[in-house]
Amino acid sequence: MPESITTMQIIETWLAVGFTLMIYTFLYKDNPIFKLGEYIYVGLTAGYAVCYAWFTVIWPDLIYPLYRALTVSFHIKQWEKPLESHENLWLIIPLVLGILMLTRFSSKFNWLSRYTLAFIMGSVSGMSIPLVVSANIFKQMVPTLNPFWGPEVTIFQTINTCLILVGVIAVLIYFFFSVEHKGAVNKVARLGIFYMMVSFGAAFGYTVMARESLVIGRVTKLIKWASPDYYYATIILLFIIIGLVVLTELFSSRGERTE
Amino acid sequence: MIKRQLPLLIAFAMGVIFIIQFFIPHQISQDLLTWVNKWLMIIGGISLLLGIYSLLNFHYLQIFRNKPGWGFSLIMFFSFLISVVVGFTPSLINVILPLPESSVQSAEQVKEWYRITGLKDGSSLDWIFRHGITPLSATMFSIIGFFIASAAFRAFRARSLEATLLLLAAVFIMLGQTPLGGMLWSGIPDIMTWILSTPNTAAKRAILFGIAMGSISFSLKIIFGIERAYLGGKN
Amino acid sequence: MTSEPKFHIIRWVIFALVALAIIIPVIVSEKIKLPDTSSRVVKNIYDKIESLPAGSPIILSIDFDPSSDEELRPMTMAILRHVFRKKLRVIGMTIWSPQSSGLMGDIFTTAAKMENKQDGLDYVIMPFKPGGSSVILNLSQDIFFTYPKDYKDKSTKELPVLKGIRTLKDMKYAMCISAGNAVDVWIVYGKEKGKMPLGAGCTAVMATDYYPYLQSGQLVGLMGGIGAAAQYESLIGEKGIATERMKPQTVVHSLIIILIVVGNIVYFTRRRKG
Repeated sequence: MPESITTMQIIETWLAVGFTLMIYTFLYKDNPIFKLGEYIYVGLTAGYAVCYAWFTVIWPDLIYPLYRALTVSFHIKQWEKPLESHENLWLIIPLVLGILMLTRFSSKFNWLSRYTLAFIMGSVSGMSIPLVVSANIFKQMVPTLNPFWGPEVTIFQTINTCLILVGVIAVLIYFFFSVEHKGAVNKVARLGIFYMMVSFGAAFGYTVMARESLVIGRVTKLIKWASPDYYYATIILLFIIIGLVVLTELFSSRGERTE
Repeated sequence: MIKRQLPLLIAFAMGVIFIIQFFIPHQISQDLLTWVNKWLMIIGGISLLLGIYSLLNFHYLQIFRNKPGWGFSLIMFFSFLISVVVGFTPSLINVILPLPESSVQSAEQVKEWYRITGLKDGSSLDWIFRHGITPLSATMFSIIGFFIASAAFRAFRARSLEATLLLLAAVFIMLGQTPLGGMLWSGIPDIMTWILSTPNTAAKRAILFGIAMGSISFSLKIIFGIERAYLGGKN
Repeated sequence: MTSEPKFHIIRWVIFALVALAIIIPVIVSEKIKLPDTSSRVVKNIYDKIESLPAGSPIILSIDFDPSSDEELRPMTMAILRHVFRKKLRVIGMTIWSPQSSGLMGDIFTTAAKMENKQDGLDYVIMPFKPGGSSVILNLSQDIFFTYPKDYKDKSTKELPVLKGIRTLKDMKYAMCISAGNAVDVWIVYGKEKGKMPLGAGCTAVMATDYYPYLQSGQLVGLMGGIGAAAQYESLIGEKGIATERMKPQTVVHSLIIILIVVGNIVYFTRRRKG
């Protein structure tokens, strides 16, 4: 039982319950109350992202250090560590590239954004190739070709190593479309499908756990908030929101009839 | 040339530089990696604004053209403004009207103002995040939990051998993940572990190989200017 | 084909059943007793953290946002409480989204309060920086250059928690708890550059994708969803939210299996009747 709940916490709870129930009205069907919640969510999140971009990147990593660097370079102000600041003059490059990126919305100058895109795509591609080869190809090949037999290898491990090797080859053959899937190739490809079906089934089983845990989390909170400590927030707001959904339904059906 | 060839040249140069850079441990090479990644982070921050502009522009047009549901777009704008105003106002006031720190009382006030600025714990924007964004977002994604049950009832049929394998694997995982599996039969958790570590590992590894090959060839196509779709436009 | 109203009614009945399968076990939770489960892949993460000496620096990358909060918070809390008890120095960061930072602030403060830990001394939270792989590559070069200031706007160079650390290579362990592809990014960029042991926590949806990395040793261990969180809670001897939630979880899983069986019986009976 919570020791002492402040008025602020009560307000916060009612807000959270209201929003939660608004979204759950979608279970009945897509309706204006759900849409209201959805659009509030989009708006708040977008605003939050703007603040975030400003407070954590654009101001501290770009504008402020660049301002310092420029003022030091042109002897406008003296700072404690001028050397460190000079280095920051390089930040003009991302500033220019960033501004070029913003031309994307101009029909006349949008080609300028290509410089930024080319810079990003080229660098990221170059950086990723050696690392992807090492992490996802070389290091993945090693365990696929584990020794089948050895002093510390049990018969069970031998079988599993064989099964993994066969599975990897079968699935790869299934995805290899340069050869027509006939005869022996078709049989191996079909084995590949079996492997994938087991894997997808496992993924589905896990997905059920994931999705249900999200519902359980929300519902557990709603039950907690239905207690007298929170002035029966869930129960009262549930009735209000059901009432609102019924009202909007009545309005929309009357609207349809008059049309 | 300036519109198409030069960007392709930039992509080629950057790509080749960073492939070579990987093999050179010299300080200059390392500094280059550090700086360019910092720039990419900054450009990422600016691009975030690009996405927001696009969203706002879409909703502005909805309202301006009186499209059905424009009222909701208005609500979107309104809640966007709430976030932005609440996020920036305390910091702005802090900059424009710095409170004197001479007396103990005002020092407390300064502390209070500082507490609610920016993004940290307990700031006013954090309040919106915790009590507005969090419940809305968490509930929005939890709805699928109901629909997945309905989908399992309707679509999960043992029509063929493949479908039966899929179904059996799913059931073993669902049982094995909870204490129920072990309670029904002690072999269920072991079967689950075997499914995950043997057939699943094999299938996922083959798919991983495919994705890795695909991403490498895509990267090479970008570097050599064969893949140009990301540039957009015709000329 | 099922008619439109019938389709809706069946759907609403299923929704109601799901709701009941959650509400009833939550209400009578105290009367339900379930045995603990365990798995090697979760235990490996626990063993790795246990093996680290006090004061070892570790990175915890919180790469999820409120949409997966209900699923991943219990796991994050359990891990954090464990590392705090082991007196490890924790660097909290995210490459996922701005919202992850807000969430991280909330989770870290709650866990720190429980274990009596201090911001800046025992742990530090870094703000979100966009760029994903660029952020990790930068960390592999210089942590202070990537994050000149922490989440609370303090200069990172002055923080005692970061003393003697410069790059990812100084980390004794890293763990990414993710709702998307952040684990992949950590494996390809973080693990390759930093060479530190890497553990992963993820939503159950993603769990099957990472098994190849377990066998290859690129991941020390893997925690998938709420089930793994419950296992971890029993490992650290602090049964909490995840253990409680496994009760409705078990009932809902049973309900879905029953729905699948009933669906199949209906299907085969209809098929036999032609």
